[in-house]
Amino acid sequence: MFLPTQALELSEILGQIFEQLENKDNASALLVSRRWFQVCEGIFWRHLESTSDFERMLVLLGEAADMYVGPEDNASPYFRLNLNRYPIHKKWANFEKHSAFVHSIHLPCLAPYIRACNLIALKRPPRRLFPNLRTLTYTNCSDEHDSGIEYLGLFMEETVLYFSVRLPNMDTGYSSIQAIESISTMTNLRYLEVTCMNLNKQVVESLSGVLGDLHKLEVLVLPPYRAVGTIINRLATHGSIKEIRSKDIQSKAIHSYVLPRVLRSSDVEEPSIGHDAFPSLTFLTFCANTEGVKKLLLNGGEHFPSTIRCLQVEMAKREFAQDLNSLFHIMGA
Amino acid sequence: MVLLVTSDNEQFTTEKDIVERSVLIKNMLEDVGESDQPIPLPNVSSSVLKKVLEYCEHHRGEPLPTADSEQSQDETRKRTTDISEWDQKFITVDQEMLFEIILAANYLDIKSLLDVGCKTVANMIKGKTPEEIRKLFNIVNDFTPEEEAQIKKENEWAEDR
Repeated sequence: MFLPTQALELSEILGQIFEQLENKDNASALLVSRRWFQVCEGIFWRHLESTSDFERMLVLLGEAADMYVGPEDNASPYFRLNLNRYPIHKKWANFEKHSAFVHSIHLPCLAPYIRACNLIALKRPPRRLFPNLRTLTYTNCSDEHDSGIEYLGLFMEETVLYFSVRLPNMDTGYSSIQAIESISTMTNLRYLEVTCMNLNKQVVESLSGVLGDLHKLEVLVLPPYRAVGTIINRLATHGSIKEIRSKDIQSKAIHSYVLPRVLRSSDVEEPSIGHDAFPSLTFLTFCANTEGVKKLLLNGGEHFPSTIRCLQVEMAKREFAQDLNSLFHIMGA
Repeated sequence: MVLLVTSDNEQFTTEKDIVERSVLIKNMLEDVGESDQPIPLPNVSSSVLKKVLEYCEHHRGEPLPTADSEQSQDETRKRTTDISEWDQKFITVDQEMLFEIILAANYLDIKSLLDVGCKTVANMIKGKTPEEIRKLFNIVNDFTPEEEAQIKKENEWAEDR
């Protein structure tokens, strides 16, 4: 017979209880007893979901953090918390003890932490910072400008399977391009989501270049009108891609100048499908003009992947009814 | 029909599809095949088995969770501490019975019941300080003051400002 109190000694039961709790409650749970600490510590560090989670990770590297909290009326003070000196060796050992537990990070906007990120980037040990990271998301950035995005690469580990990023609206977008190019370090990626109010042509091109390195990618999610020929053609010979989708987002700014969302047709290749293309594709979204769509559907012809269950076409401009009818006819065939 | 024998030697006769919510019993039945032999449950008392069977009967016919049903590429945590109304009422028992149900669910491998039990304990912990938790469950603080200070420092929690 078990004694009832044993329920709170068995690690499988304790673990399940802690899994149900938010990190702020697990912060209390791990101080209850040695047994609870043994089971809870890993769970407490497994998912870094909030600003508090991110900051407690930074605190491991710093001593007295300089806590400049901006003016009261400022909703996002600039230096909420920062490291004020280079982390010493002992600090790194402590950091790595905890970062090994981390499976997922939902990053806060990195802009207030650029100083800390810079220190980490300069002084990091030549090892993975998060050796067991599986999920990385960065969707809290500012749409207008995000100086933190250039440090996103710090978190992009080879082990990551799921990555989602929201990029700021910028027509030059150098740091966005830098962030996109770092994606290629996540060679095991299965799911890649890039959203943006307006992703420019250069970023789309960098992204298409990166896709060639992601041999295990299964799902690609892009902003509307960005699954253009450059992307489709790059992925046509990809062995494992299953879904190419689009996803729209709401602007965070009330008044913001939004650049034209559809790329000029002179800026993008027309999608085409050749022999043996897309061996495992089930969901295809693509953007093209009527001629491009026709060509894709007709040229694809017998090559058109039989595995596709859903086809979503994003037309670059308003089309006449008769053109649409002819498209339906082709698709029907 | 299946015959179950509890630790205090009480016998329970129940229908196969009810009791098969327990993966342990399901596997046992598959191993022995068609047989009238009683199944001994030396870790479960009659008062607890009665509750467990009440649960299984209420949820009979519901699909059993499969091993991979909760896996997804996105590993962010999907937390749901809400419990259905019937389950909530069912699990409103004293602490001793709650832990006995949890242990039985764990031993009998009834995932959904174990879930309900663990969620209930989780809800009891929410918002409490370490000392309040210890008091609630009668747990002894076995940390040295130095250990406690060290753990506090490394696992500091500050609310989102």
